[in-house]
Amino acid sequence: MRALFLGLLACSWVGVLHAQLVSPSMLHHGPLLTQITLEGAGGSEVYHIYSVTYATAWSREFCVMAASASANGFRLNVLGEGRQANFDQDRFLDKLWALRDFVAGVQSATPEGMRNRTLVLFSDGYDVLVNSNPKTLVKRFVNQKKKILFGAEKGCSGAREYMAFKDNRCDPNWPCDMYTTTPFLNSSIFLGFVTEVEYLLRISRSEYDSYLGKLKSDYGPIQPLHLTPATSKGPWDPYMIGGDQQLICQLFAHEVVRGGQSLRSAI
Amino acid sequence: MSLDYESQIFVNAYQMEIGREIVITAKGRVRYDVNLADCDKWDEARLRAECRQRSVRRVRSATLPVILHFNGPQKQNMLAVASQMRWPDALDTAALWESEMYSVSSGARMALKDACAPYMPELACGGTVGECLARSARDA
Repeated sequence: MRALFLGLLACSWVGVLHAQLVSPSMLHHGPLLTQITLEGAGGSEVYHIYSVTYATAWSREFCVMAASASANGFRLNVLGEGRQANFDQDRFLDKLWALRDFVAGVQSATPEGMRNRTLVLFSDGYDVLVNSNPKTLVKRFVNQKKKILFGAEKGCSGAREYMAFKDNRCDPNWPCDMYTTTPFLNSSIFLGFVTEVEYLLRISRSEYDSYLGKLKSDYGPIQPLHLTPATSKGPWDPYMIGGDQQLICQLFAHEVVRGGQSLRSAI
Repeated sequence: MSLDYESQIFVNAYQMEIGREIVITAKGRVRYDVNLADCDKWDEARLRAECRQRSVRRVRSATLPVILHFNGPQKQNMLAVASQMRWPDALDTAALWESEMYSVSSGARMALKDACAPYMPELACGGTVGECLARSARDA
């Protein structure tokens, strides 16, 4: 009985100490991050990774993806819950708009000195498997010395000028400076430093608004998606048709944004 | 801003058939058996040669990419690959489903086992996640 009493006393003290050190808000709120320490010649460096995905509902495929992420040591932040109406309205562009708000929040919460070691990893929610751990991810990314890295794929990207008239031919001006079997960008998986990712997402919105404005002024009102070239002259919203993929490919391939440099070179 | 041309981190399966052009081993290594004729699309001989060189390198050296993306028609192969990949053993699997994710919209953290409750009988059957997926595919 005495042992039981002492045990309960000890537990209550631990409970008090725990309550003082960790408030309920720290336990149940705020994005999850994974901390990685890389050892190098110049000492150790700590990196933070925010792993983010987008899903409006939890499906079997989502759960397998989430389990594979957790099994490998990633802590997952999910955008999209409660955003079905946004998705219905903006389709795949809603991934970018939701991610932009999340990344802006992460950036402002990250101390200036830590931003060049804070990474955002984005992946789609329903057709992805995580196959290795965060340390491998950070090591390989740091070795590549890039600010943002996208997945490469074999399927070509369209061009906004064609897509605006429902013509999905490949972009004839895609920057083919790498001669590979996978020369094209896939926007569904990427990794980058928080500052650059925030910048990319911010100018994604600017490109969307400005190009839609230009289309309207040059060709008239944007046509509903269900109309076809047989029944309408257009224009259509190329980014609503091609989604985040079309918008990010446009920025990667064409937009000049900083001091005469393409965005691709600038960030 | 660049692309992961050598698939050190990411693999996108779009227009590349799993099991034929992209071979994923049980240990998660990815090997490409790409059709080198794809390189013929480059007009200049120099570019064709460089493309072939890169393709050969990818065929020879398997990578262990961090993220596999089964986009396009390859979506249908995702669960089959998941059933064959290496997963923590059954004991760790119990802990795995206790791990939390954060829903940005609601500002709440939730355990995977709660978010995935409808699928738990199928995905947490007492074996590893891979074994459970294989079992449910057999039973389907």
